[in-house]
Amino acid sequence: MSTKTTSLEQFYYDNKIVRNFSLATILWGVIGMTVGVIIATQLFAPSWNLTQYGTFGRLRPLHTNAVIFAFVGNAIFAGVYYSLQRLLKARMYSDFLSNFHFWGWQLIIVAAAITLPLGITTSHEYAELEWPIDIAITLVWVAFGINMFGTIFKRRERHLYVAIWFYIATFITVAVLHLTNSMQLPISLFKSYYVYAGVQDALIQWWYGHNAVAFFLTTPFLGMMYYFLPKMANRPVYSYRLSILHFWALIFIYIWAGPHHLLYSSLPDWAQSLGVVFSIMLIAPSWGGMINGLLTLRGAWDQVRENTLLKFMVVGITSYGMATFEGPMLSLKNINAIAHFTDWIVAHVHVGALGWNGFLTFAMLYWLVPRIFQTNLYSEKLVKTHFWIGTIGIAFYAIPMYISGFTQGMMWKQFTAEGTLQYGNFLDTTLQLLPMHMMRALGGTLYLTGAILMAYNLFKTMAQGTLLANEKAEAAPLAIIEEKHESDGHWHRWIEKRPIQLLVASLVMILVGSLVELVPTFMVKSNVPTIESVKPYSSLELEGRDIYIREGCVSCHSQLVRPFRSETERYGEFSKSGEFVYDHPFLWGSKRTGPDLHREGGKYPDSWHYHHMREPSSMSPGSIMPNYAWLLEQTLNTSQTKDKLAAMKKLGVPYSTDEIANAVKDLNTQAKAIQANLASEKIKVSQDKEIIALIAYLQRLGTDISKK
Amino acid sequence: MFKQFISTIPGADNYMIFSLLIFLTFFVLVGVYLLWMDKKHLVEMEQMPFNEGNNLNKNLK
Repeated sequence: MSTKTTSLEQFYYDNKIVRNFSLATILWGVIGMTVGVIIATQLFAPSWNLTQYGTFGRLRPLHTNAVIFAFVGNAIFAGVYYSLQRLLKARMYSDFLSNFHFWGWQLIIVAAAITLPLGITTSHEYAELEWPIDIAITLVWVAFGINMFGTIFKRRERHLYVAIWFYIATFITVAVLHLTNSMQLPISLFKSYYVYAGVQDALIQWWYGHNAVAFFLTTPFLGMMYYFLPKMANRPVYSYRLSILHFWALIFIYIWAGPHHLLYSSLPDWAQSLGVVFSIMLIAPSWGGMINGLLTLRGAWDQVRENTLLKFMVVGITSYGMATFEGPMLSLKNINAIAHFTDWIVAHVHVGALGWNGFLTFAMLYWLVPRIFQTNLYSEKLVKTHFWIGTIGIAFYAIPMYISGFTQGMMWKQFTAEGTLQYGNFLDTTLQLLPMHMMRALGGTLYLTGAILMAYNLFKTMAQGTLLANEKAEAAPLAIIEEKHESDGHWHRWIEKRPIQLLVASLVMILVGSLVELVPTFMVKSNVPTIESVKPYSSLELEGRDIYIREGCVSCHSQLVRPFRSETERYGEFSKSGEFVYDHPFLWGSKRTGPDLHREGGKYPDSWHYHHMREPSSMSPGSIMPNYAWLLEQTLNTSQTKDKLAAMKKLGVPYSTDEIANAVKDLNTQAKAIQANLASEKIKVSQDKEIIALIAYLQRLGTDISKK
Repeated sequence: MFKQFISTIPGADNYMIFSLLIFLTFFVLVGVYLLWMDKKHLVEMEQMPFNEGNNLNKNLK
């Protein structure tokens, strides 16, 4: 034992940054959930689609980005900045980087809140932000990483607690995912095309989408669970061994499972099977985490009765267990065949989001805000009310969505005795779900009410206390601790004190699965067989496609006919991978609020589309689709048409030099033909309107393979 | 089961089996590491959230 144990260093924990991230969590949480309630209402009351900036298609990405990156993101940073400092016995490495991280992240959120309603979107789900914002995200994320590793290097604690392992894996994996999925070729400040196309783009997107759930919504929260749950329950984690085992297994296996989002798609079969196998395996490490969390409360369930924060934790961890059991089940092909593209997936996601992410965040905020403000919670009663209203809200949200998903999935597949589709009109299935959608909106409103109660309670708590901006602490420097343990050289503790090796090991773990998934699809040509008759879009169709992207049509319409009789009867020939080779980006979608559009081309006359876009219910009585009347008024911007074709050529789309040079001329010729066609049906419209381009695109969809 | 889908990509079978082997090897190593971990160290690690640098702000709740 060294004699130097008395030479302790004094230092201060930075609570101000924790306060800032906590405030941002509360604010963006309320905003993101409010947008959620609005879009839920739009699905049974189309009049709630106000102006072109407030349609479901444009607000849905705003909701997902706000709750994932603004609400949950800020919660992660609040939790990490609070726990990291204390577990390492050190102040954050740099106050400047902490503030840069905080303000940078908030600016990114504001940029998202402005650009998404303006229709500036890449259309990749949960990665909709355009390239300048992607670069800003990269810079801020790197600042966060430097700050985290700087703190780890100057720590006064030899070993890294398991929560920090989860934070490190989060940092490195999100960096890899974001960079890979943001590979875009810019055309202007607000427009770019993904370098990947079709099947490859789909695979990259769902590798990203699936692992964003893993490494943004799961691993940081597991880390926070391992810190805050023992603190709340005042007892150590049930099994430290289990925490390490499930850490490595989770980060390795999660990354392989992405293709389960693309079952029955045009993705090669081997990749789909790989996704299913690893999805089933994923139950084990996920439940390892849940069991470890719940068993931490073994023998302390009397505390759960009294302590509302523990109630939040128990419901949150149980929701995690439910969602992570359901995920692998949904990846089974026979279940997926019914659930995919329906509200079932929406229910699944929200059990995780509302239960796991939401409830853990609420518990953490209720726990740390009074501590850094040196006071008690303003009202315990309001916390109890929040818990119950939130729990009932989750039930009201999830149960109708499960019923709705199952109902719709079954209705799509229902045949009559004569062998025709029982619900041949897609709208019949949509209308059947309206009562469930109303109940879901009620559930969301209850949950939002709970969050508003929390905001009031926490603001009052902050007002009655005083922020301890710099919290004094003391600990021996690392050098002295190392000296004390000099003889303690067990090999198995090696990695626990080596953050860089831990980072590299985590990176290797995630790269193995990523490469196996991605490389063959990119390298092996036979995986995407080409089809001779598939040609690039004309310049007018390409502009129409960009309007389709801008309006967020992909939020409600898939472009992927699966190889089921129920789908080929309804839509036509099933989709082939070779049909999407010029699709930068792919637009397969993940939800069918409306019908699939891959075989839309030639199904209806141009006039039908014209009237339908002006007022959908005039063509489909009872339709819940918003009116897109502005497409009939707005002039198509052709100033970038040439650049767009040139960019596509760079990405491998075989446009000739002539086609690029005459892009606008060709566009006008095709537009004139559509205008004449509409005029023959007594529709007067100028050929330079956006609607003409959209009609051109919709009429082209899925028609190439039937050309001789 | 693996044989069924890897057979469709030329040369990819070794590639996939190799990656599974990496995982299994790593998993076994972690398993051994956990079994060999001594109890004292585990307790020390478990207690880390409760040992936060002799907090000097006694007025904290």
